[in-house]
Amino acid sequence: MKSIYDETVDYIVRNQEMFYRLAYSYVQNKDAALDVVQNAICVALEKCDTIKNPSAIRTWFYRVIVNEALQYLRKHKKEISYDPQIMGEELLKQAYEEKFEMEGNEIYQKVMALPPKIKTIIVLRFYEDLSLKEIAEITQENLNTVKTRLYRGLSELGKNLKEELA
Amino acid sequence: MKELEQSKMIYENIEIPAELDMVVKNAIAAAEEKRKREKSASGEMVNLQEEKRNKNNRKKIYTFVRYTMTTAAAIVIAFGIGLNSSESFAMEMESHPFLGPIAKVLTIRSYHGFDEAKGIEKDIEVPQIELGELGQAAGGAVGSINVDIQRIVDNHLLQAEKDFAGYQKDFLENGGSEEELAQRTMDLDVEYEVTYQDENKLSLVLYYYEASTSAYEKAYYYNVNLKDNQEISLQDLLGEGYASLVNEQIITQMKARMEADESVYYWGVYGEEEEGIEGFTGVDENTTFYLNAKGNPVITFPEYEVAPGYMGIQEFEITIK
Repeated sequence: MKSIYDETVDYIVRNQEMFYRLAYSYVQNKDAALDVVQNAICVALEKCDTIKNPSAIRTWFYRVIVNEALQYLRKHKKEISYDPQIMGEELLKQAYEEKFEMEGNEIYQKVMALPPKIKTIIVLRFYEDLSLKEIAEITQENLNTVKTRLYRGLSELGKNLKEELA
Repeated sequence: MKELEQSKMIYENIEIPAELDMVVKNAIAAAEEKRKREKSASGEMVNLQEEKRNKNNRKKIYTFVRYTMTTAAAIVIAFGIGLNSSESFAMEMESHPFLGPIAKVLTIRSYHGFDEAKGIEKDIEVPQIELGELGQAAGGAVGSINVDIQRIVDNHLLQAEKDFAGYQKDFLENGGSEEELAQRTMDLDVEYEVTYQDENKLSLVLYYYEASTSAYEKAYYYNVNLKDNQEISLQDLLGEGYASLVNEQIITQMKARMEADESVYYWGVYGEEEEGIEGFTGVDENTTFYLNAKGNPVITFPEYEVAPGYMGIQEFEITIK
């Protein structure tokens, strides 16, 4: 059996790109996202011995990344713009280059512009494909709070709930 | 139309910066350093932890080597960052002989757990070699080794699952009960070990263990010259006359081991043939080996090849004069 520490190191190495994307979706800046990933790894490896079961590493690490990203936003509040017009520009360019459909891009900008706590739910649910139960574990909220935030997020995106949750 | 699903594609295409890999490895190396310092600060804790690690010697070596590599990678990262920020530092680095095309061995697939439906306990760690800046994209020997490892592991796992499913079916058809069958499980174990690495050479061993009604062990050996990305042969290491040099040392060691322990027996040591068993007939370019920590080649023979099966894989270290 490998130690939790070794398991966590392996998990980090394998999933680094996913961590970066998640971090980036909050901070919208390359260097800031790298900072968040770096801090999250340090925190995780310092505390990973408290995990009892290797199967919990996944949700636990999401929690560390989300917490680090939110903390970064709190610390650097003034520097981060929530204006979808401004922060969409870079993504828009990227999207054109990759020939993505405009429809999806518009929604993406809206998702990125959501308040962080609501964004967490939408990103984890629809972009990382986690279940609401897992998201509740990650955010340390009860399931009803998660659901409320999900509905609020979807209505802010102007989405028909039935359509997305079908 | 599910617009959210479409926008997921944009999320998935967030550009991954080249520095990410370095940042991650650096952070892991830093955490490792911190951990070591804290451990040595509390003596008793260390002993307990060490004791646990010593339980499995093979894993201990592997862990040690891997952490060494992480540190080596971290050194390169530090230099890489210096390169961007300071020209004089870059000049200095060019003359540093150690910083060749550094290679890393990473776990790319890992699975640990009991598959209840199949009755198979799996502990699987599949390695992959990354060479210098090319990383996983390096072709040559490294590229084909990586492909080979994946294929070997997949084939073994498929075959083992098939075999065990067949065994389960036979067991039930021959009057065994479900309860009895639940007691009979299969263990599958895939591990690897970096036995040697310097700036020129890398030696990697992939182990496959299978245990159900009987136990089976197989190892695969990979030796790469990191400078030209070619596999290393015994001739590369020992020169043209490698075969007679190696044969002589192996025969000497076989005789010594047989004298020291009467349960040890090698076929063919004294040139005789036994019930059609050829035993040891000498090494050639297909003989497998790895490099040990001293950098010496260790010749390996699979189960049954030169000795009875109960003796397992046989190894002979060749000393280079």
